[in-house]
Amino acid sequence: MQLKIDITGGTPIYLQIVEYIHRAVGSGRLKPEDPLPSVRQLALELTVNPNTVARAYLELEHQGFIYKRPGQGTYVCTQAPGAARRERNRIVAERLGKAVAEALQSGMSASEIQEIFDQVMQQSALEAYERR
Amino acid sequence: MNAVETDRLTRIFGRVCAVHSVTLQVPEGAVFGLLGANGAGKSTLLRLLAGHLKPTSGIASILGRPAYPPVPARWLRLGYVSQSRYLPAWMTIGQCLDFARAMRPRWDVGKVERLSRRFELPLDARIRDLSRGHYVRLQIVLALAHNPEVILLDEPTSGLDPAARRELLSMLIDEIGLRGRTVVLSSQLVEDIERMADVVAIMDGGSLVATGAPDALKGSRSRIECASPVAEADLCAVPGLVELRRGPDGAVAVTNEPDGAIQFLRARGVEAATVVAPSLEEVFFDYVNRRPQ
Amino acid sequence: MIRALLWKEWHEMRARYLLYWLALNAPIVVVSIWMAFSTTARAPFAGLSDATILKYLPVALLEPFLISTVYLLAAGYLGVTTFRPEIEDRSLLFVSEQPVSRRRYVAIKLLFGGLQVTLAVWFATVLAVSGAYALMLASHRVTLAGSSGIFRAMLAAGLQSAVWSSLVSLIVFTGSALAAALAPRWWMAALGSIALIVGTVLIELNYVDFIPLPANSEPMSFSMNFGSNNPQWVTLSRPLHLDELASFGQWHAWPQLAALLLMVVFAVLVTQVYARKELT
Repeated sequence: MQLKIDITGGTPIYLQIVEYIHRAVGSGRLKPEDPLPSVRQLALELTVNPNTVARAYLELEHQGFIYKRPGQGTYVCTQAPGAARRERNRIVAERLGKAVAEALQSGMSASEIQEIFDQVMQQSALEAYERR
Repeated sequence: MNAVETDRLTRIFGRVCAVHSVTLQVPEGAVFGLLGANGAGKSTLLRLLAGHLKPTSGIASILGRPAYPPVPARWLRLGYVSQSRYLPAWMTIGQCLDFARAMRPRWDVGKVERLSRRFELPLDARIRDLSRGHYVRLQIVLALAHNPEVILLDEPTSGLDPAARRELLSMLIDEIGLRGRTVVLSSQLVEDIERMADVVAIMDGGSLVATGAPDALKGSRSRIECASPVAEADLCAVPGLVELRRGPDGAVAVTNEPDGAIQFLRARGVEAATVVAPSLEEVFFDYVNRRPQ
Repeated sequence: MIRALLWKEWHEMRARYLLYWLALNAPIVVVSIWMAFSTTARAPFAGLSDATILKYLPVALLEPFLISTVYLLAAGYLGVTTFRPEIEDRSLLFVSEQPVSRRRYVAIKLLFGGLQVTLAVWFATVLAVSGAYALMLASHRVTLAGSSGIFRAMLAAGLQSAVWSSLVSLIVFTGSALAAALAPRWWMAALGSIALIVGTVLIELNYVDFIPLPANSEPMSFSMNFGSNNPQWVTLSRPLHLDELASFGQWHAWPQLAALLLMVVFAVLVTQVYARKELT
């Protein structure tokens, strides 16, 4: 896996692993039933404590992204893409929520915010269209 | 059961208090990271744990038994990598390994061969001629060959280039993966500790100034950042406030109760407050009060 | 495990053991070489015969005398270097990290070193007497039949002294080892060892008879003529009587037992001190 751990930031390592898997599933890089490296393998690859990887895998299992086949290893769940989409939506909602809260805090009205939002949407769609 | 335990462990050399009333517990199977600058007391603490030094007061125990005076049989269950060089200079690597093997019944020949090959240890080289890298690798092989339950490492990566450091850490990870191994690792490099440790202990001036899992330590020094200006009075009253920092972009509250702080500020109408987790390095600087200017 | 420890000890000490053996046997080796290659050296045998052999052979008994006095320095050196280098270069810590008690390790060092000392002393004593006798036989002025009885008596005297010499050497060996374990600096250990040697010699000369003359026998004098034109390098006024030889190197029981006890005390102290030695 092409995951790189950033030590200097504040994000816990296990969370970085979890988020990477979220993104990989969301973008289709990891498909349902794809195998994941064992805890030990990933720990060696990233040069981190295996407990950290184990914790990440546990979290992902809880969130329904991965499951363990007894004696065979860890695999991506079939429902993972759905979970990934939900997770992605949640993150986007959170980010937008922060931006809106910031805007409201600085004194903007709801309609002003809506106007800017529409502008940004149009601009981004245009750029996406031009890139294609 | 705690594999390693100390209770108010103190060691004084003449007028210098190298280790001051250190109390810690390392559960079985954990990786305990000791983080501190030069002279913080990490080496002395490890030497006390290994039984090479007698405590001035307090006790240290390894695997349920007092660390001092050292019982020879304990060295069958303990591995220690020191920072100083005291392997017999006249021996070759091969002779040293053979000697250590003759002293221990539970010598894992296969493992030693594997490690020697992986480390590319020149068996005919004399120990006095070894570079730092080869020397510490030999120390590691000697410390791990008998599959000890507890491994103490004193700054094993110091003096190594980044590739060798990675190699060493990854070799330790291999070892940690095996159940029941307890590792106590000291380092000046925050990155090493962050990668490896389940529990981090920050040492400064001989004392243990903070202990906890890396995430918990970071959480204890969460920064509350607000996008828009907030009244200092509000920030001062934030629950769990540890420090109020005044920077060029305004004041930042450092708290050990980030969630409580956010709720408190929201209740005061401050919506755009976010928690920024510091890096372990920043936490370290905080605790030893030595922030680079 | 013991084998590995012995191997290590042998490797670290073999040069010094060799030095010790050479030092002790140096006189007879040097003299033999000199006599083999120098014509003037053969002259002392001018007056040699079965009758006068008892005048010259006792010179070989200088060897045990040397061993008990001057060569104690070599025993002291051995004692200090058995223990000090490991403290200086801190490789004692390496040994501490092995599953062997320090006491056992010290015991092995002391026994191995002590064995070297004892063997070397006995060998040198026997060699001195036998070698001197062999040289005299080779001069053809002395016959085996006429002198073998004297040689046996000489050998007995030599062995008698060897008991005492080895005991004293062992005291110096173990005492120097103790000095090495106790002293904070190596030169203090050396000084301690030398002080011990001086003390030992002074006390020892009170209790051991190295001059084989009972109190009320006829007086005898000897002179050393090295470097002069006199071809005889030692002149004795009269040959010894056989029964006079019996008292050479004779030991009195109590000093001997006291010496043995002292050696044991030193050895035990070494293990205690070494076991608690903290290397910072």
